[in-house]
Parts: sequence; C-alpha cells; structure tokens
Amino acid sequence: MLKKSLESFGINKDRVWFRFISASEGKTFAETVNQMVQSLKKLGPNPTWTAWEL
Amino acid sequence: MKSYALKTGPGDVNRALTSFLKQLLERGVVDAILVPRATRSGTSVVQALVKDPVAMEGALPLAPLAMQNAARQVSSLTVQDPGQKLGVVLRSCETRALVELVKLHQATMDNLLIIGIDCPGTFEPANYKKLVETGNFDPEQWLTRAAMGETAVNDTDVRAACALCRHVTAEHAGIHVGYVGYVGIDPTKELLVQVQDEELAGALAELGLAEYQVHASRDETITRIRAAREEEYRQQAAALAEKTGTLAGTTDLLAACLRCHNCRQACPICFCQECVFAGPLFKHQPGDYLGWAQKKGVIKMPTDTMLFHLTRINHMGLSCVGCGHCQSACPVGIPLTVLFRSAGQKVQDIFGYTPGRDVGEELPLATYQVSELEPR
Repeated sequence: MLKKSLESFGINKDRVWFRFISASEGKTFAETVNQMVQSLKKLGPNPTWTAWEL
Repeated sequence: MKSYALKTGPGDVNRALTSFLKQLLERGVVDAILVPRATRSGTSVVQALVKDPVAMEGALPLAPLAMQNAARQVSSLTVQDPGQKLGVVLRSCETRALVELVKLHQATMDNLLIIGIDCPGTFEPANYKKLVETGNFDPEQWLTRAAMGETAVNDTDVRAACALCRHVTAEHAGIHVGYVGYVGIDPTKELLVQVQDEELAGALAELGLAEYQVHASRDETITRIRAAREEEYRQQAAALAEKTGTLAGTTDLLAACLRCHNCRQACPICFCQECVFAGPLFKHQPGDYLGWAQKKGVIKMPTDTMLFHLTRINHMGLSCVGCGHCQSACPVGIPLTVLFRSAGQKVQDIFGYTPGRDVGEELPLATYQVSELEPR
C-alpha cells in the first residue's frame, strides 16, 4: 500500500524496502542491509533533500 | 422492490417531498429526520435535524448543494445508539461514506432509515450563493434539466468531484427518491419513490402513493450520465498522473498547500479525534526549521505539506469514496479530488476493495487472506 501511494506522489518506491528477517538470521540481515545500501547509492541522493517546497 | 409515484406540481417538487417526509414523522415511521434545509437568507442549505413535523416546512431535500458530506452528521447522531428511529436524507457519496464510517465504528445503521435521493451533482457553496443572489437559479427548472444530465447554469457547473462521479442513485437506501431519466414525465409532475422493505411498502401504501411502473429510460439515462462522467474522470486522472509521475510534478501540484487541514476537516473518512498532524509530532522546535533552512538554503513554511498529504492518503485512501469535499474546502484550489480518488483507487485495487459497496465487507486492513501470508 505504501509503495502504491509513494508512486501516486511521484516518489521512487524502491527507496523503501520491506523484508522479513528472523532474529536468528544475522547473516541474511547483514547481506540485505548491504544490498539496500548499494541499491540506494545507485539511486543517488533523495531529491527531497534539495526540493524546498515540500 | 416496490415503486410508487409521489405527485408533485410546478413550483412544488421540494414541498411535495417535504410533506412526504413530514408524514413519515407524523406516522412514527421515524422519530426524527436529518434533512437539508435552506438558511433564512436562502443562499445556503445546511443539514437540519427535524423532530417537530411542522418544522419540516422549509426543508429542501433536493437542493443541489451539499456544504459537507452528511455522513459526518450521521456519525454524530449514531456513534452511540440514539434510542430513536432516525431518518436521514442522503445522496450516494454520503451513503457510501457512511458505510465506511460504520466499518470504522464511527456510526451505526441499526436504527437508521436511509432516504436516498438521486443526485446529478451539487454546486460549490459560493457558486450556489451567487446563483441564488443574482436570481439566476430556478430550482424546479434545474431539476428538470439535471434529470437529463444537464447540470450547468449559464457557465456555472456542479463541483469538480460531481462532474466526475459515477453514481447517480444512492446505494443502501431503505426508501429512494428519484427523478433522473424521465422521458415525457418531469419532476415537476411526479417523483419516483422506491422501497425495499415490505413493511415500509405497507406504510407508504397507507400514505396513498400509487404504484408505478418505472420507465426503461430512467436506467438508460443514468447509464449514459455515468459513462460520460467516468470517461471524463479517466481523462482527468490520466492528465494528473502525468504530472504526479515525478516528484517535481507532485511538488508543483501541492506547492501552494498552507497545511490549513481543511481537507482533513471536510473529509468524511478522517474521523481521528487527534490527528497526528494536530499533535506535538509536527510542532518542531524553532531551531529545527532553521537547521533545515541551513541545509537546503531555503525551505517552505509551513513545512511537511507533502508528508501531510502522503499520510492522509495512507490513512483514508482505502475508504475514499471520491466525494471531493476536500477540494471544495481547499482555499488554494489544489485538485485534490482526482489526486485522492486515483491514489485511493490504486490501494483499493490491491485488495479488490470498493469503499461503500457493502457494509458486511470487512476493511482490508482489518482482515487477511491466507494467500497474503505466502512469501512474494
């Protein structure tokens, strides 16, 4: 739902990640965070940081 | 369903319907009626709760003006059992909003008789006032033309949301009063009264209403009006989607927002006593504003306008019935109807949910399907 609403407002939905990771899956957690960081670096700075009228 | 004809006469449509409502009160079919009533000046029409049948005079149930979505008033009257049978005169967007409020535990329908009315649209309050003041508005003539889908008076048409509305008749009505789509018969001669319930039908027969065969032209006209408006909505939604496809476009659209919260106040679904935006969370420290201005060079005041609308769509999008009172309440003219109706539609589509369709249908977030638990 949130991703659909972000799309409706022209905000890139890939900036938000939802993943289920159990407390015992430390390795998966670390890998997922690394993937997310890489993906966000590729997307570049969030345009809301420079838009003044928000 | 049984259909009856309620005889009216020229200059008498609202009065004929009003005396019908008065009889419902006198005969104890209902103990009180919520109905639109003209203010003394005649330039506005507000919701009025009538207990005394004599006070039913002056009601204007078919006036093309809705200052707010009356579901809010029904919520005030039924959030706790009023202990009396209540009749409420509502149009489609109001019955649908009411269904959502019942699901949100803000209203009940247990002791409620919904008297639904055909609604080809309502004017912006300021426009209605101007039309009445300048003498350009003849209510009877308007009804006759609106019955065929022609709602504009000179250059003034109904509210933006109404011009895009796919509903004409009111859903969930115990008694429904119609006039749209008659060929050869106009509302200045008779109104169509339809009843679902046998017991109610008996009560109506006692009032001396004659049974009536509904002409096929009624359905044809309603279908035609709905199709034309649906097409208009599709075009406007597509045009808006081009703008809101980018953050810059949406920012332009919302740039004039003052965060006055009028849209939230007018929204029949926004029922929270303490809106998150009225609380301390968005009362920032002076230093915060200066810090953000330092970072960006310049910021708009008040802040958080985009976040406000994004939060609102997340909170009420699933139940948005598209009544457009948000847009009517907006002092800076942001096209909120299409923005919220189309954004709402997208989240509704995830669950195949149509707000206002069925009071027995659960809110998507209050239930779950086993398939939703599968990883994807």
